Amino acid sequence: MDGAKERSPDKRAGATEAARDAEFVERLKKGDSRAFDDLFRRHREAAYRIAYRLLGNAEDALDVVQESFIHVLRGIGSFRGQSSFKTWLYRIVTHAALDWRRCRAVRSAASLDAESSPEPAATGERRRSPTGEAAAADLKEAIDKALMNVSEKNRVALVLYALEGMSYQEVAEVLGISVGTVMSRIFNARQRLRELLASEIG
Amino acid sequence: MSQATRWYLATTVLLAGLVCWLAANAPAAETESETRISILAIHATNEEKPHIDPALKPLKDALARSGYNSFRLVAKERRAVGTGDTWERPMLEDYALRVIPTEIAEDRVTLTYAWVHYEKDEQGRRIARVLQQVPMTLIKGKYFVSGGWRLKKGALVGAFAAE
Amino acid sequence: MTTMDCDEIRTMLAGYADAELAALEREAVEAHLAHCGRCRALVADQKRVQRVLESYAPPSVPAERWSAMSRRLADELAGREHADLVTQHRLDSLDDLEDESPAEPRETREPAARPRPLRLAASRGPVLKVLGPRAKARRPRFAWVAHAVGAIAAAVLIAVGIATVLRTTDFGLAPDALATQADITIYEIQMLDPGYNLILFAGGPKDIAAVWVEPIETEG
Repeated sequence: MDGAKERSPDKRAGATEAARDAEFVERLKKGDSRAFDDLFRRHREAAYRIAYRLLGNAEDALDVVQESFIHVLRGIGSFRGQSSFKTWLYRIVTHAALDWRRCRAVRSAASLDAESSPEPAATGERRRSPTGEAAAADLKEAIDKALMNVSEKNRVALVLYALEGMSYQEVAEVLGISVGTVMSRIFNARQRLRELLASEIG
Repeated sequence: MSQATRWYLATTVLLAGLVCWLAANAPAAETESETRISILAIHATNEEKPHIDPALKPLKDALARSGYNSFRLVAKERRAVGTGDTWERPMLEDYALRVIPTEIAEDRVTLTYAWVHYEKDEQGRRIARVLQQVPMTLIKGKYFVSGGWRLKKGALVGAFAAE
Repeated sequence: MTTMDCDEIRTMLAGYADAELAALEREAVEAHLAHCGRCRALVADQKRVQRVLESYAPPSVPAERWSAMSRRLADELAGREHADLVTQHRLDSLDDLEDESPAEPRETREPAARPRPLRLAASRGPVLKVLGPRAKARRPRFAWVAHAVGAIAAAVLIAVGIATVLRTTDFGLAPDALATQADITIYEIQMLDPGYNLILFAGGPKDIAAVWVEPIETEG
Protein backbone atom coordinates (compact mmCIF):
# COMPACT_ATOMS: atom_id res chain seq x y z
CA MET A 1 0.00 0.00 0.00
CA ASP A 2 2.43 2.59 -1.21
CA GLY A 3 1.85 6.17 -0.31
CA ALA A 4 -1.00 5.49 2.07
CA LYS A 5 -0.70 8.06 4.78
CA GLU A 6 -0.11 6.93 8.29
CA ARG A 7 -3.48 7.51 9.71
CA SER A 8 -3.44 6.31 13.26
CA PRO A 9 0.17 6.26 14.24
CA ASP A 10 -0.05 8.19 17.42
CA LYS A 11 -3.02 6.82 19.25
CA ARG A 12 -1.28 7.54 22.48
CA ALA A 13 -0.63 11.15 21.51
CA GLY A 14 -4.25 11.45 20.57
CA ALA A 15 -5.33 10.14 23.94
CA THR A 16 -3.00 12.51 25.75
CA GLU A 17 -4.33 15.42 23.79
CA ALA A 18 -7.88 14.45 24.54
CA ALA A 19 -7.11 14.23 28.23
CA ARG A 20 -5.49 17.60 28.15
CA ASP A 21 -8.44 19.09 26.33
CA ALA A 22 -10.79 17.64 28.92
CA GLU A 23 -8.79 19.22 31.69
CA PHE A 24 -8.81 22.59 30.04
CA VAL A 25 -12.52 22.33 29.35
CA GLU A 26 -13.09 21.87 33.05
CA ARG A 27 -11.03 24.92 33.78
CA LEU A 28 -12.79 26.90 31.11
CA LYS A 29 -16.14 26.06 32.61
CA LYS A 30 -14.93 27.84 35.69
CA GLY A 31 -14.02 30.85 33.59
CA ASP A 32 -10.30 30.32 33.24
CA SER A 33 -9.36 32.44 30.27
CA ARG A 34 -5.91 30.95 29.96
CA ALA A 35 -7.45 27.54 29.50
CA PHE A 36 -9.44 28.94 26.64
CA ASP A 37 -6.34 30.54 25.13
CA ASP A 38 -4.70 27.18 25.14
CA LEU A 39 -7.64 25.40 23.56
CA PHE A 40 -7.94 28.12 20.97
CA ARG A 41 -4.28 28.03 20.11
CA ARG A 42 -4.19 24.30 19.73
CA HIS A 43 -7.34 23.88 17.67
CA ARG A 44 -7.65 27.01 15.62
CA GLU A 45 -5.60 25.78 12.68
CA ALA A 46 -7.66 22.68 12.30
CA ALA A 47 -10.85 24.68 12.60
CA TYR A 48 -9.57 27.04 9.97
CA ARG A 49 -8.69 24.21 7.64
CA ILE A 50 -12.12 22.70 7.91
CA ALA A 51 -13.80 26.02 7.28
CA TYR A 52 -11.46 26.93 4.47
CA ARG A 53 -11.96 23.70 2.62
CA LEU A 54 -15.69 23.93 3.03
CA LEU A 55 -15.97 27.55 1.99
CA GLY A 56 -13.14 28.03 -0.46
CA ASN A 57 -11.89 31.34 0.81
CA ALA A 58 -9.90 32.48 3.79
CA GLU A 59 -11.94 35.47 4.90
CA ASP A 60 -15.13 33.54 5.32
CA ALA A 61 -13.18 30.72 6.91
CA LEU A 62 -11.78 33.05 9.54
CA ASP A 63 -15.21 34.47 10.24
CA VAL A 64 -16.53 30.99 10.72
CA VAL A 65 -13.65 30.06 13.00
CA GLN A 66 -14.37 33.06 15.17
CA GLU A 67 -18.05 32.31 15.35
CA SER A 68 -17.33 28.71 16.17
CA PHE A 69 -15.14 29.59 19.09
CA ILE A 70 -17.69 32.09 20.30
CA HIS A 71 -20.21 29.32 20.17
CA VAL A 72 -17.82 27.17 22.15
CA LEU A 73 -17.64 29.87 24.80
CA ARG A 74 -21.37 30.23 24.94
CA GLY A 75 -22.01 26.55 25.05
CA ILE A 76 -19.21 25.39 27.28
CA GLY A 77 -21.43 25.44 30.31
CA SER A 78 -23.67 22.76 28.89
CA PHE A 79 -20.95 20.70 27.28
CA ARG A 80 -21.10 17.41 29.07
CA GLY A 81 -17.96 15.87 27.68
CA GLN A 82 -19.67 12.84 26.20
CA SER A 83 -17.72 13.41 23.06
CA SER A 84 -14.26 14.83 23.03
CA PHE A 85 -13.76 18.58 22.81
CA LYS A 86 -12.18 18.15 19.42
CA THR A 87 -15.16 16.25 18.08
CA TRP A 88 -17.52 18.84 19.45
CA LEU A 89 -15.53 21.70 18.01
CA TYR A 90 -15.24 20.11 14.60
CA ARG A 91 -18.96 19.53 14.59
CA ILE A 92 -19.60 23.18 15.40
CA VAL A 93 -17.22 24.39 12.75
CA THR A 94 -18.72 22.09 10.14
CA HIS A 95 -22.24 23.24 10.85
CA ALA A 96 -21.23 26.88 11.02
CA ALA A 97 -19.45 26.65 7.68
CA LEU A 98 -22.34 24.91 5.97
CA ASP A 99 -24.81 27.31 7.51
CA TRP A 100 -22.70 30.24 6.40
CA ARG A 101 -22.64 29.00 2.89
CA ARG A 102 -26.35 28.38 2.86
CA CYS A 103 -27.20 31.86 4.10
CA ARG A 104 -24.93 33.50 1.60
CA ALA A 105 -26.21 31.45 -1.26
CA VAL A 106 -29.84 32.14 -0.53
CA ARG A 107 -31.90 32.88 -3.56
CA SER A 108 -35.50 33.79 -2.92
CA ALA A 109 -37.41 30.57 -2.68
CA ALA A 110 -40.20 32.10 -4.70
CA SER A 111 -37.99 33.03 -7.59
CA LEU A 112 -39.91 34.99 -10.11
CA ASP A 113 -39.48 33.82 -13.64
CA ALA A 114 -37.62 30.82 -14.83
CA GLU A 115 -34.92 32.92 -16.41
CA SER A 116 -34.28 35.21 -13.48
CA SER A 117 -30.81 35.26 -12.09
CA PRO A 118 -29.41 31.75 -12.10
CA GLU A 119 -26.30 32.18 -10.00
CA PRO A 120 -26.50 31.83 -6.25
CA ALA A 121 -25.57 35.07 -4.51
CA ALA A 122 -22.18 33.79 -3.39
CA THR A 123 -21.54 37.17 -1.92
CA GLY A 124 -18.31 36.34 -0.23
CA GLU A 125 -17.09 33.35 -2.09
CA ARG A 126 -14.96 34.92 -4.71
CA ARG A 127 -12.86 37.12 -2.53
CA ARG A 128 -9.18 36.46 -2.91
CA SER A 129 -7.42 34.93 0.03
CA PRO A 130 -5.28 37.48 1.84
CA THR A 131 -2.00 35.73 1.22
CA GLY A 132 -2.62 34.36 -2.27
CA GLU A 133 0.41 32.39 -3.24
CA ALA A 134 1.59 32.78 -6.78
CA ALA A 135 3.32 29.47 -7.20
CA ALA A 136 0.84 26.60 -7.15
CA ALA A 137 -2.01 29.09 -7.16
CA ASP A 138 -3.71 27.64 -10.19
CA LEU A 139 -3.85 24.13 -8.86
CA LYS A 140 -4.95 25.28 -5.45
CA GLU A 141 -7.68 27.40 -6.91
CA ALA A 142 -8.74 24.52 -9.10
CA ILE A 143 -8.92 22.27 -6.07
CA ASP A 144 -10.89 24.84 -4.09
CA LYS A 145 -13.33 25.27 -6.90
CA ALA A 146 -13.62 21.57 -7.50
CA LEU A 147 -14.31 20.97 -3.83
CA MET A 148 -17.22 23.35 -4.04
CA ASN A 149 -18.68 21.17 -6.73
CA VAL A 150 -18.69 18.07 -4.62
CA SER A 151 -21.99 17.51 -2.93
CA GLU A 152 -22.08 18.81 0.60
CA LYS A 153 -22.34 15.54 2.44
CA ASN A 154 -19.47 14.01 0.58
CA ARG A 155 -17.36 17.12 0.78
CA VAL A 156 -17.73 17.41 4.53
CA ALA A 157 -16.62 13.83 5.08
CA LEU A 158 -13.58 14.27 2.88
CA VAL A 159 -12.61 17.63 4.34
CA LEU A 160 -12.70 16.26 7.86
CA TYR A 161 -10.77 13.18 6.93
CA ALA A 162 -8.12 15.25 5.15
CA LEU A 163 -7.20 16.84 8.45
CA GLU A 164 -4.15 15.42 10.03
CA GLY A 165 -4.69 12.58 12.37
CA MET A 166 -8.34 12.03 11.62
CA SER A 167 -9.53 8.50 11.14
CA TYR A 168 -12.77 7.26 9.65
CA GLN A 169 -13.92 6.55 13.17
CA GLU A 170 -13.33 10.09 14.30
CA VAL A 171 -15.01 11.54 11.24
CA ALA A 172 -17.94 9.24 11.94
CA GLU A 173 -18.13 10.59 15.48
CA VAL A 174 -18.10 14.20 14.39
CA LEU A 175 -20.84 13.69 11.85
CA GLY A 176 -22.88 11.18 13.78
CA ILE A 177 -22.88 8.61 11.01
CA SER A 178 -21.46 5.15 10.60
CA VAL A 179 -17.95 4.40 9.46
CA GLY A 180 -19.36 2.71 6.37
CA THR A 181 -21.15 5.89 5.42
CA VAL A 182 -18.00 7.90 5.97
CA MET A 183 -16.15 5.56 3.70
CA SER A 184 -18.66 5.71 0.88
CA ARG A 185 -18.92 9.49 1.10
CA ILE A 186 -15.17 9.88 0.96
CA PHE A 187 -15.08 7.51 -1.97
CA ASN A 188 -17.68 9.51 -3.85
CA ALA A 189 -16.05 12.82 -3.01
CA ARG A 190 -12.70 11.71 -4.32
CA GLN A 191 -14.22 10.21 -7.43
CA ARG A 192 -15.92 13.48 -8.15
CA LEU A 193 -12.72 15.43 -7.57
CA ARG A 194 -10.94 13.07 -9.87
CA GLU A 195 -13.44 13.85 -12.60
CA LEU A 196 -13.29 17.57 -12.02
CA LEU A 197 -9.53 17.78 -11.79
CA ALA A 198 -8.83 15.39 -14.63
CA SER A 199 -7.02 18.02 -16.62
CA GLU A 200 -4.95 19.27 -13.68
CA ILE A 201 -3.80 16.03 -12.22
CA GLY A 202 -3.82 13.84 -15.29
CA MET B 1 -52.13 9.83 38.24
CA SER B 2 -48.63 9.19 39.40
CA GLN B 3 -46.47 11.76 41.04
CA ALA B 4 -44.20 11.92 38.02
CA THR B 5 -47.08 12.47 35.61
CA ARG B 6 -48.45 15.26 37.74
CA TRP B 7 -45.05 16.84 37.78
CA TYR B 8 -44.71 16.63 34.03
CA LEU B 9 -48.15 18.12 33.52
CA ALA B 10 -47.45 21.01 35.85
CA THR B 11 -44.14 21.69 34.21
CA THR B 12 -45.68 21.56 30.77
CA VAL B 13 -48.41 24.02 31.69
CA LEU B 14 -45.98 26.36 33.39
CA LEU B 15 -43.58 26.23 30.50
CA ALA B 16 -46.40 26.75 28.04
CA GLY B 17 -47.43 29.84 29.92
CA LEU B 18 -43.90 31.09 30.05
CA VAL B 19 -43.29 30.55 26.37
CA CYS B 20 -46.57 32.25 25.54
CA TRP B 21 -45.59 35.23 27.58
CA LEU B 22 -42.20 35.36 25.95
CA ALA B 23 -43.69 35.12 22.52
CA ALA B 24 -45.96 38.03 23.24
CA ASN B 25 -43.24 40.24 24.59
CA ALA B 26 -39.88 41.28 23.35
CA PRO B 27 -37.50 38.40 23.84
CA ALA B 28 -35.30 38.73 26.88
CA ALA B 29 -32.18 38.21 24.85
CA GLU B 30 -32.44 41.59 23.21
CA THR B 31 -30.32 44.32 24.70
CA GLU B 32 -29.66 47.82 23.53
CA SER B 33 -26.66 46.61 21.64
CA GLU B 34 -28.79 44.51 19.39
CA THR B 35 -32.01 45.00 17.53
CA ARG B 36 -34.28 42.71 15.58
CA ILE B 37 -34.47 43.75 11.96
CA SER B 38 -37.07 42.49 9.51
CA ILE B 39 -36.40 42.78 5.82
CA LEU B 40 -38.88 42.22 3.04
CA ALA B 41 -38.20 41.73 -0.62
CA ILE B 42 -41.10 42.76 -2.81
CA HIS B 43 -41.57 42.41 -6.51
CA ALA B 44 -43.57 45.20 -8.03
CA THR B 45 -45.11 44.85 -11.46
CA ASN B 46 -47.88 46.22 -13.56
CA GLU B 47 -50.51 43.62 -14.27
CA GLU B 48 -53.86 43.59 -15.92
CA LYS B 49 -55.35 42.32 -12.73
CA PRO B 50 -53.82 44.29 -9.87
CA HIS B 51 -52.89 42.08 -6.98
CA ILE B 52 -51.22 42.73 -3.70
CA ASP B 53 -50.12 39.96 -1.36
CA PRO B 54 -52.35 40.01 1.70
CA ALA B 55 -49.26 40.10 3.88
CA LEU B 56 -48.29 43.42 2.31
CA LYS B 57 -51.52 45.21 3.18
CA PRO B 58 -49.88 47.34 5.89
CA LEU B 59 -47.53 48.76 3.29
CA LYS B 60 -50.20 49.37 0.71
CA ASP B 61 -50.08 53.14 0.93
CA ALA B 62 -46.42 53.37 0.20
CA LEU B 63 -46.51 50.76 -2.50
CA ALA B 64 -49.47 52.34 -4.22
CA ARG B 65 -47.52 55.50 -4.83
CA SER B 66 -44.82 53.67 -6.65
CA GLY B 67 -46.52 53.58 -9.98
CA TYR B 68 -46.93 49.83 -9.98
CA ASN B 69 -50.15 48.05 -9.30
CA SER B 70 -49.17 44.54 -8.23
CA PHE B 71 -46.92 43.52 -5.40
CA ARG B 72 -45.69 40.13 -4.40
CA LEU B 73 -43.81 39.38 -1.22
CA VAL B 74 -40.87 37.34 -2.37
CA ALA B 75 -38.81 37.00 0.76
CA LYS B 76 -39.06 37.88 4.38
CA GLU B 77 -36.48 37.47 7.05
CA ARG B 78 -35.98 38.63 10.55
CA ARG B 79 -32.70 38.64 12.30
CA ALA B 80 -31.00 40.10 15.33
CA VAL B 81 -28.30 42.56 14.38
CA GLY B 82 -25.89 44.26 16.72
CA THR B 83 -24.55 47.76 16.45
CA GLY B 84 -21.83 47.90 13.89
CA ASP B 85 -22.83 44.61 12.36
CA THR B 86 -23.75 44.45 8.74
CA TRP B 87 -26.62 42.34 7.60
CA GLU B 88 -26.59 41.92 3.88
CA ARG B 89 -29.74 40.27 2.65
CA PRO B 90 -29.81 39.07 -0.94
CA MET B 91 -32.91 40.30 -2.72
CA LEU B 92 -33.68 39.61 -6.35
CA GLU B 93 -31.54 39.40 -9.45
CA ASP B 94 -28.17 40.19 -7.89
CA TYR B 95 -29.47 43.02 -5.74
CA ALA B 96 -28.91 43.00 -2.04
CA LEU B 97 -29.90 45.24 0.83
CA ARG B 98 -27.49 46.01 3.60
CA VAL B 99 -28.61 47.25 6.97
CA ILE B 100 -26.09 48.46 9.51
CA PRO B 101 -27.46 49.67 12.84
CA THR B 102 -25.18 52.21 14.44
CA GLU B 103 -27.16 53.30 17.47
CA ILE B 104 -29.98 51.54 19.18
CA ALA B 105 -32.19 53.48 21.53
CA GLU B 106 -35.30 52.35 23.31
CA ASP B 107 -37.71 53.53 20.67
CA ARG B 108 -35.64 54.12 17.59
CA VAL B 109 -32.68 52.89 15.67
CA THR B 110 -30.08 54.88 13.80
CA LEU B 111 -28.80 52.91 10.89
CA THR B 112 -27.36 53.07 7.46
CA TYR B 113 -28.87 51.09 4.70
CA ALA B 114 -27.36 50.50 1.31
CA TRP B 115 -28.53 48.94 -1.89
CA VAL B 116 -25.85 46.97 -3.67
CA HIS B 117 -25.81 45.23 -6.99
CA TYR B 118 -23.54 42.33 -7.78
CA GLU B 119 -21.78 42.51 -11.11
CA LYS B 120 -18.66 41.33 -12.84
CA ASP B 121 -15.73 43.69 -13.12
CA GLU B 122 -13.29 43.84 -16.04
CA GLN B 123 -11.45 40.79 -14.78
CA GLY B 124 -14.66 38.89 -14.57
CA ARG B 125 -14.67 38.90 -10.78
CA ARG B 126 -17.87 39.27 -8.89
CA ILE B 127 -18.04 42.61 -7.09
CA ALA B 128 -20.65 44.55 -5.20
CA ARG B 129 -21.50 47.99 -6.52
CA VAL B 130 -23.19 50.31 -4.08
CA LEU B 131 -26.14 52.03 -5.68
CA GLN B 132 -27.49 54.04 -2.82
CA GLN B 133 -26.47 54.62 0.73
CA VAL B 134 -28.60 56.31 3.31
CA PRO B 135 -27.89 57.04 6.95
CA MET B 136 -31.14 57.57 8.77
CA THR B 137 -33.05 57.14 11.98
CA LEU B 138 -36.16 55.03 12.10
CA ILE B 139 -38.74 54.55 14.80
CA LYS B 140 -38.92 50.98 16.00
CA GLY B 141 -41.88 48.96 14.90
CA LYS B 142 -42.56 50.58 11.55
CA TYR B 143 -41.57 49.62 8.06
CA PHE B 144 -39.54 51.91 5.92
CA VAL B 145 -39.89 51.40 2.19
CA SER B 146 -37.14 51.94 -0.33
CA GLY B 147 -36.99 50.68 -3.86
CA GLY B 148 -37.63 51.13 -7.50
CA TRP B 149 -34.72 49.12 -8.84
CA ARG B 150 -35.38 47.95 -12.33
CA LEU B 151 -35.64 44.21 -12.81
CA LYS B 152 -36.10 42.17 -15.94
CA LYS B 153 -39.76 42.63 -15.29
CA GLY B 154 -41.07 45.23 -12.92
CA ALA B 155 -39.12 46.63 -10.02
CA LEU B 156 -37.59 45.56 -6.74
CA VAL B 157 -38.84 47.10 -3.56
CA GLY B 158 -37.38 46.61 -0.14
CA ALA B 159 -38.86 47.29 3.23
CA PHE B 160 -37.27 47.02 6.62
CA ALA B 161 -38.23 47.60 10.20
CA ALA B 162 -36.45 47.44 13.50
CA GLU B 163 -37.75 46.23 16.82
CA MET C 1 -15.20 -16.98 1.12
CA THR C 2 -17.10 -15.94 -1.95
CA THR C 3 -15.44 -13.53 -4.31
CA MET C 4 -17.19 -10.21 -4.49
CA ASP C 5 -18.06 -8.18 -7.51
CA CYS C 6 -17.15 -4.62 -8.36
CA ASP C 7 -20.28 -3.03 -6.95
CA GLU C 8 -19.79 -4.63 -3.58
CA ILE C 9 -16.13 -3.81 -3.51
CA ARG C 10 -16.46 -0.28 -4.79
CA THR C 11 -17.00 1.79 -1.72
CA MET C 12 -14.57 -0.27 0.29
CA LEU C 13 -11.92 0.94 -2.09
CA ALA C 14 -11.66 4.21 -0.22
CA GLY C 15 -10.97 2.35 2.99
CA TYR C 16 -8.47 0.17 1.20
CA ALA C 17 -6.64 3.14 -0.26
CA ASP C 18 -6.51 4.76 3.18
CA ALA C 19 -5.51 1.61 5.04
CA GLU C 20 -8.60 1.86 7.17
CA LEU C 21 -9.93 -1.61 6.55
CA ALA C 22 -9.67 -4.47 8.97
CA ALA C 23 -7.62 -7.45 7.95
CA LEU C 24 -10.56 -9.47 6.75
CA GLU C 25 -11.97 -6.79 4.49
CA ARG C 26 -8.57 -5.90 3.21
CA GLU C 27 -8.06 -9.48 2.14
CA ALA C 28 -11.41 -9.54 0.43
CA VAL C 29 -10.53 -6.40 -1.49
CA GLU C 30 -7.10 -7.65 -2.39
CA ALA C 31 -8.59 -10.84 -3.70
CA HIS C 32 -10.83 -8.84 -5.96
CA LEU C 33 -8.15 -6.44 -7.08
CA ALA C 34 -5.98 -9.33 -8.16
CA HIS C 35 -8.19 -9.83 -11.16
CA CYS C 36 -9.93 -6.50 -11.63
CA GLY C 37 -8.05 -3.75 -13.44
CA ARG C 38 -10.92 -1.33 -13.20
CA CYS C 39 -11.02 -1.40 -9.46
CA ARG C 40 -7.26 -1.18 -9.28
CA ALA C 41 -7.52 2.01 -11.31
CA LEU C 42 -10.14 3.31 -8.91
CA VAL C 43 -7.84 2.68 -5.97
CA ALA C 44 -5.06 4.54 -7.76
CA ASP C 45 -7.46 7.43 -8.35
CA GLN C 46 -8.44 7.51 -4.70
CA LYS C 47 -4.85 7.61 -3.58
CA ARG C 48 -3.86 10.23 -6.08
CA VAL C 49 -6.67 12.57 -5.18
CA GLN C 50 -5.92 12.13 -1.49
CA ARG C 51 -2.28 12.97 -2.09
CA VAL C 52 -3.19 16.06 -4.08
CA LEU C 53 -5.61 17.19 -1.43
CA GLU C 54 -3.13 16.69 1.35
CA SER C 55 -0.32 18.30 -0.58
CA TYR C 56 -1.71 21.75 -0.48
CA ALA C 57 -2.39 23.73 2.59
CA PRO C 58 -4.93 26.50 2.87
CA PRO C 59 -3.34 29.94 2.79
CA SER C 60 -1.54 30.56 6.04
CA VAL C 61 -3.10 33.00 8.43
CA PRO C 62 -0.98 35.96 9.52
CA ALA C 63 -0.31 36.00 13.22
CA GLU C 64 -2.05 39.34 13.67
CA ARG C 65 -5.34 37.82 12.52
CA TRP C 66 -5.09 35.18 15.19
CA SER C 67 -4.16 37.77 17.79
CA ALA C 68 -7.07 39.95 16.82
CA MET C 69 -9.41 36.99 16.98
CA SER C 70 -7.96 35.99 20.31
CA ARG C 71 -8.69 39.44 21.67
CA ARG C 72 -12.25 39.35 20.45
CA LEU C 73 -12.77 36.00 22.00
CA ALA C 74 -11.30 37.24 25.25
CA ASP C 75 -13.87 40.01 25.20
CA GLU C 76 -16.57 37.46 24.63
CA LEU C 77 -15.34 35.41 27.51
CA ALA C 78 -15.28 38.45 29.71
CA GLY C 79 -18.88 39.04 28.78
CA ARG C 80 -18.51 42.09 26.62
CA GLU C 81 -20.10 41.99 23.22
CA HIS C 82 -17.73 43.14 20.56
CA ALA C 83 -18.86 45.62 18.00
CA ASP C 84 -16.95 44.45 15.03
CA LEU C 85 -18.16 40.93 14.62
CA VAL C 86 -18.67 40.73 10.92
CA THR C 87 -22.16 39.46 10.73
CA GLN C 88 -24.43 38.42 13.50
CA HIS C 89 -24.95 34.91 12.42
CA ARG C 90 -27.71 32.58 13.35
CA LEU C 91 -26.09 30.54 16.03
CA ASP C 92 -29.35 29.45 17.59
CA SER C 93 -29.61 26.69 15.06
CA LEU C 94 -26.48 25.24 16.59
CA ASP C 95 -27.69 25.48 20.16
CA ASP C 96 -28.86 21.92 20.45
CA LEU C 97 -25.64 20.44 19.25
CA GLU C 98 -23.72 20.08 22.49
CA ASP C 99 -22.47 16.61 22.31
CA GLU C 100 -25.42 15.06 20.64
CA SER C 101 -24.73 14.11 17.10
CA PRO C 102 -26.38 16.38 14.56
CA ALA C 103 -29.68 15.25 13.11
CA GLU C 104 -28.44 13.67 9.95
CA PRO C 105 -31.21 12.76 7.58
CA ARG C 106 -31.42 9.07 7.66
CA GLU C 107 -29.47 7.41 4.88
CA THR C 108 -32.13 5.99 2.64
CA ARG C 109 -29.65 3.74 1.03
CA GLU C 110 -26.04 3.19 1.63
CA PRO C 111 -24.69 1.92 -1.63
CA ALA C 112 -23.84 -1.62 -0.76
CA ALA C 113 -21.94 -0.57 2.34
CA ARG C 114 -24.33 -2.16 4.76
CA PRO C 115 -25.19 -5.43 3.08
CA ARG C 116 -21.53 -6.20 2.72
CA PRO C 117 -20.56 -6.76 6.32
CA LEU C 118 -23.40 -9.18 6.71
CA ARG C 119 -21.95 -11.37 4.00
CA LEU C 120 -18.56 -11.53 5.58
CA ALA C 121 -19.94 -11.62 9.06
CA ALA C 122 -21.95 -14.68 8.18
CA SER C 123 -18.88 -16.60 9.09
CA ARG C 124 -16.93 -14.13 11.20
CA GLY C 125 -18.44 -11.95 13.86
CA PRO C 126 -15.82 -9.25 14.46
CA VAL C 127 -16.05 -7.81 10.96
CA LEU C 128 -19.53 -6.51 11.59
CA LYS C 129 -18.29 -4.61 14.58
CA VAL C 130 -15.51 -2.95 12.67
CA LEU C 131 -17.60 -1.77 9.78
CA GLY C 132 -20.59 -0.57 11.63
CA PRO C 133 -19.81 0.53 15.13
CA ARG C 134 -22.22 2.69 16.96
CA ALA C 135 -20.71 6.04 16.14
CA LYS C 136 -23.37 8.00 18.00
CA ALA C 137 -22.53 9.18 21.49
CA ARG C 138 -23.92 7.00 24.19
CA ARG C 139 -27.46 7.85 25.14
CA PRO C 140 -27.81 9.92 28.30
CA ARG C 141 -27.85 7.71 31.29
CA PHE C 142 -30.52 9.71 33.01
CA ALA C 143 -33.97 9.06 31.66
CA TRP C 144 -35.32 12.17 33.27
CA VAL C 145 -33.34 14.30 30.89
CA ALA C 146 -35.20 12.75 27.99
CA HIS C 147 -38.48 13.22 29.81
CA ALA C 148 -37.72 16.84 30.57
CA VAL C 149 -36.86 17.47 26.97
CA GLY C 150 -40.10 15.85 25.92
CA ALA C 151 -42.05 17.96 28.36
CA ILE C 152 -40.40 21.13 27.11
CA ALA C 153 -41.04 20.18 23.50
CA ALA C 154 -44.67 19.54 24.29
CA ALA C 155 -44.90 22.83 26.13
CA VAL C 156 -43.39 24.71 23.23
CA LEU C 157 -45.78 23.10 20.78
CA ILE C 158 -48.75 23.94 22.95
CA ALA C 159 -47.51 27.47 23.42
CA VAL C 160 -46.97 27.99 19.74
CA GLY C 161 -50.44 26.68 19.05
CA ILE C 162 -51.99 29.02 21.61
CA ALA C 163 -49.94 31.97 20.49
CA THR C 164 -50.93 31.42 16.92
CA VAL C 165 -54.58 31.27 17.78
CA LEU C 166 -54.43 34.28 20.05
CA ARG C 167 -52.77 36.45 17.50
CA THR C 168 -54.90 38.37 15.03
CA THR C 169 -55.77 36.38 11.96
CA ASP C 170 -53.42 38.35 9.80
CA PHE C 171 -50.11 37.22 11.14
CA GLY C 172 -48.40 38.05 7.91
CA LEU C 173 -46.29 41.01 8.82
CA ALA C 174 -44.92 41.77 12.18
CA PRO C 175 -44.49 44.63 12.74
CA ASP C 176 -47.40 45.70 10.61
CA ALA C 177 -47.16 49.45 10.45
CA LEU C 178 -45.77 51.77 7.86
CA ALA C 179 -43.44 54.55 8.85
CA THR C 180 -44.66 58.08 8.33
CA GLN C 181 -42.56 61.10 7.76
CA ALA C 182 -42.58 61.78 11.47
CA ASP C 183 -41.03 58.40 12.12
CA ILE C 184 -37.92 58.88 10.10
CA THR C 185 -35.02 61.23 9.84
CA ILE C 186 -32.89 60.94 6.78
CA TYR C 187 -29.45 62.46 7.08
CA GLU C 188 -28.20 61.96 3.62
CA ILE C 189 -29.00 60.04 0.48
CA GLN C 190 -26.01 59.07 -1.56
CA MET C 191 -27.20 58.20 -5.01
CA LEU C 192 -24.29 56.42 -6.53
CA ASP C 193 -25.92 55.02 -9.61
CA PRO C 194 -26.19 57.57 -12.37
CA GLY C 195 -28.96 55.72 -14.07
CA TYR C 196 -31.61 56.62 -11.55
CA ASN C 197 -33.54 59.61 -10.37
CA LEU C 198 -34.31 59.94 -6.71
CA ILE C 199 -37.87 60.38 -5.56
CA LEU C 200 -39.02 60.75 -2.04
CA PHE C 201 -42.51 59.98 -0.99
CA ALA C 202 -43.25 62.47 1.65
CA GLY C 203 -45.76 65.09 2.46
CA GLY C 204 -47.44 66.24 5.59
CA PRO C 205 -46.81 64.65 8.97
CA LYS C 206 -49.38 62.02 8.33
CA ASP C 207 -48.02 61.08 5.01
CA ILE C 208 -45.97 58.00 4.47
CA ALA C 209 -42.26 58.25 3.93
CA ALA C 210 -40.29 56.19 1.48
CA VAL C 211 -37.34 56.51 -0.82
CA TRP C 212 -37.95 55.62 -4.39
CA VAL C 213 -35.82 55.66 -7.47
CA GLU C 214 -36.81 55.77 -11.08
CA PRO C 215 -34.58 54.77 -13.95
CA ILE C 216 -33.64 57.61 -16.22
CA GLU C 217 -35.04 56.50 -19.55
CA THR C 218 -32.45 56.56 -22.26
CA GLU C 219 -33.16 56.59 -25.94
CA GLY C 220 -33.62 53.32 -27.74
